Amino acid sequence: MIRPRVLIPLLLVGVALLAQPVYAHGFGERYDLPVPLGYYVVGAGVAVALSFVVVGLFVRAGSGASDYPRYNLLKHGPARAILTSPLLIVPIKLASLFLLGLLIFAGFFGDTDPSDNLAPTFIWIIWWVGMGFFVALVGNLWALVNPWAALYEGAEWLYRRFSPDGSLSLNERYPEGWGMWPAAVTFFCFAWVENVYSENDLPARISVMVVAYSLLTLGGMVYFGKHTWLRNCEGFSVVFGFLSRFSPIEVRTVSPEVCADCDDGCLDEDGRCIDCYQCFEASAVEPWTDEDEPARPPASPQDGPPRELSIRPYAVSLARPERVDSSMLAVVILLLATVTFDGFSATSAWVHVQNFAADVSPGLNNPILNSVTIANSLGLLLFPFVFYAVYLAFSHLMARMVRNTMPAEALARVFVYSLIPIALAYNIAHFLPLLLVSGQRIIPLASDPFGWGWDLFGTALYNINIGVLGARTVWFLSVAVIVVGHMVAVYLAHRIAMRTFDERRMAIASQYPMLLLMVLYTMVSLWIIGQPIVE
Amino acid sequence: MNARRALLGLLVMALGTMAIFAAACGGGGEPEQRSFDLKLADNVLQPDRIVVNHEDTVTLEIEAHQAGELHLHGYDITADVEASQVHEMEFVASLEGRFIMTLHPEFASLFQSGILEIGESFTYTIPDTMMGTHIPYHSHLQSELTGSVMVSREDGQEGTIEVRITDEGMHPHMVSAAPGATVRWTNESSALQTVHAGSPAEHGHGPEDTGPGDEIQIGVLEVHPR
Repeated sequence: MIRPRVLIPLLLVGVALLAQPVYAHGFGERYDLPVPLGYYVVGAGVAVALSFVVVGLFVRAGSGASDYPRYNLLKHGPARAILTSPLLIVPIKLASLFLLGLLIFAGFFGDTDPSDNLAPTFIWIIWWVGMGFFVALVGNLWALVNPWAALYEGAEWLYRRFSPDGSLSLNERYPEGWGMWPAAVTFFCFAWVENVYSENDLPARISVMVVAYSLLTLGGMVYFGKHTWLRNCEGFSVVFGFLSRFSPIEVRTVSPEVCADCDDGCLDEDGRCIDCYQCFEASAVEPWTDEDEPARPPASPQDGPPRELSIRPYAVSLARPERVDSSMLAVVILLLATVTFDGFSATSAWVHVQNFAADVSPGLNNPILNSVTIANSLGLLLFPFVFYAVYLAFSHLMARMVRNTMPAEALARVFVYSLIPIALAYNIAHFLPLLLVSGQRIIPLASDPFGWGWDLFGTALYNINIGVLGARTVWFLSVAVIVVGHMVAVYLAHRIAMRTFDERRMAIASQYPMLLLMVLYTMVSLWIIGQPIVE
Repeated sequence: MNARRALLGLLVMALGTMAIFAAACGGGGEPEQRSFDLKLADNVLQPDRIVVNHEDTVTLEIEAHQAGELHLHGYDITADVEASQVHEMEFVASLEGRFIMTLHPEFASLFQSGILEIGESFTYTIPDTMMGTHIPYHSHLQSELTGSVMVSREDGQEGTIEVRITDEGMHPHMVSAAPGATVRWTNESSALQTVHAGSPAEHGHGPEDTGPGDEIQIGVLEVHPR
């Protein structure tokens, strides 16, 4: 291991030697060219034009319905038996737990070079980017494979063997005003590590952070109860949960008795319990099931299975009538702001800010606190507030347009989910090349996870193919994804407006400020991907 | 339902138009032979941005005024350069994208003292060519003793600059010297020492990987689609 006396001078020399400011930006080298101006202009134009088309179509058609078509995969006995079978679920959870252990081991005992160690590539690219994409585009896989939940469930199962009536958790009452604020804090800490901390690619540091966070999460679950902690305080469960509202798979519980027991008050304003994993787990006991019986459509919800695992259209779950409190608003704003900051901090505009900070703050030179990390920390802290201020300003405009029948803060909360597709689209546009290029490193790393010269699967010498996506393909996809995200956002905002306001005229009027905000947000996203990336 | 269908139809049309635009917006043309004259001095590459098209044959003539190892990322081409030499790098730009070029500067050839007894000194006069650089150095016999000399015309000291080698480290650890100044190291530790330019890793002892500090980004290669 490198002794401090050698490391610190090397680092000092290194930081001083670098011609341009260095900063941490997740992990993984990028080779993409910035999107040329032509693409950017055409994309922006199409986004704006299609927005007006959406408005125009909705003026005539209009749809205030909050429910949506869906297909329940658990309707038929055989499918239900397979999908809910412990034989499927328990091995998946064990595998996830094994992976967590493997990563921690790799971080502490594997090669110290980030490129030759499984932990940085898996965590920053496969998990943070890959899982983020998966939960948004397919379904909330994280709810199933969360290793900390799996660990807790295993511990609880063991505990119940000795004390059948007891509960592993202390089940302390979760304080009233806390809401999702703890999740906002944990997610902000993660965003800081991702965007600011310059040693976030060092395997040993990663393992320390993973162990610390595991202890915090397990302790929290024991103290407050598994679902209460995961739903309110575990940053990743919360953020992946928000992203998965876009996805086409949901779980639903149609059993009022079960939902009455739920800690969360999980019912939305239409009385539906959607994507509440506590109720879904609790409703697993089905006394009436007869798996040999042929499937029949139930006469009423109470006659049917109390739980559903359904396929639904994309994005519609973001427009459901739900109570959004200020802590939830904060987490969503934080998510949007950090995604945008991630991209913005790689632009030359931000480098000017960093250079300014370097000029006014001499001297400090350690890996956690130096002029670059201070500038980035301040930026990361400021961005959510700026985002919130801008969003609130537009909410005030919306309130004005509806003649103050609803206050601006309430409007802000009602509409905030409709902005998620724009952030998601930017995320996909920005990270897909990274996932497909640098993500290929997982192939050699799977054979040699610790950098010890192994070759478990014969792929240790695999060379990543940088040319897997041509430059033009990347440009087109980036702009197309952002345009589609924008359109979905505009569509969602309209759906929300239609169900929020009784008068159709008012609903349309409320959308003009929202439309302007979304166009601006999309322009910022397009501008960022058009900037040359500063290393 | 009608609204939705119309919307989807319009979206498909819009994306289709964009796709046609993207495909048609190709420069076309034949791959060319491109040649660039670059100068590497004081950790700076001039010019530092090279733009070519996909499948061009690229020749870089690099006039180096310092020693080190150049590395073109992505293509993974490395080249050792020596001071006062012209080095040629030739390759076909088969990968589209933006690839950074980095330099691992090598200082080992700059100065090297013999074995210093306790009380002995070693001096080195800084040449003008090293202006703007940081020169790391270490003791070959006790490689955790390291220091650096920052060469700067404005901030650097002139004359003779004293550095004491002690058991704890070099004092002062980092000195700022003007070109033409002389640095004098005196062995005030309890063991034999040497003063070798370069980081310990350059000499094969110390940490295996050269670490982030030793790699400087000096330029970028952009390969645009044809």
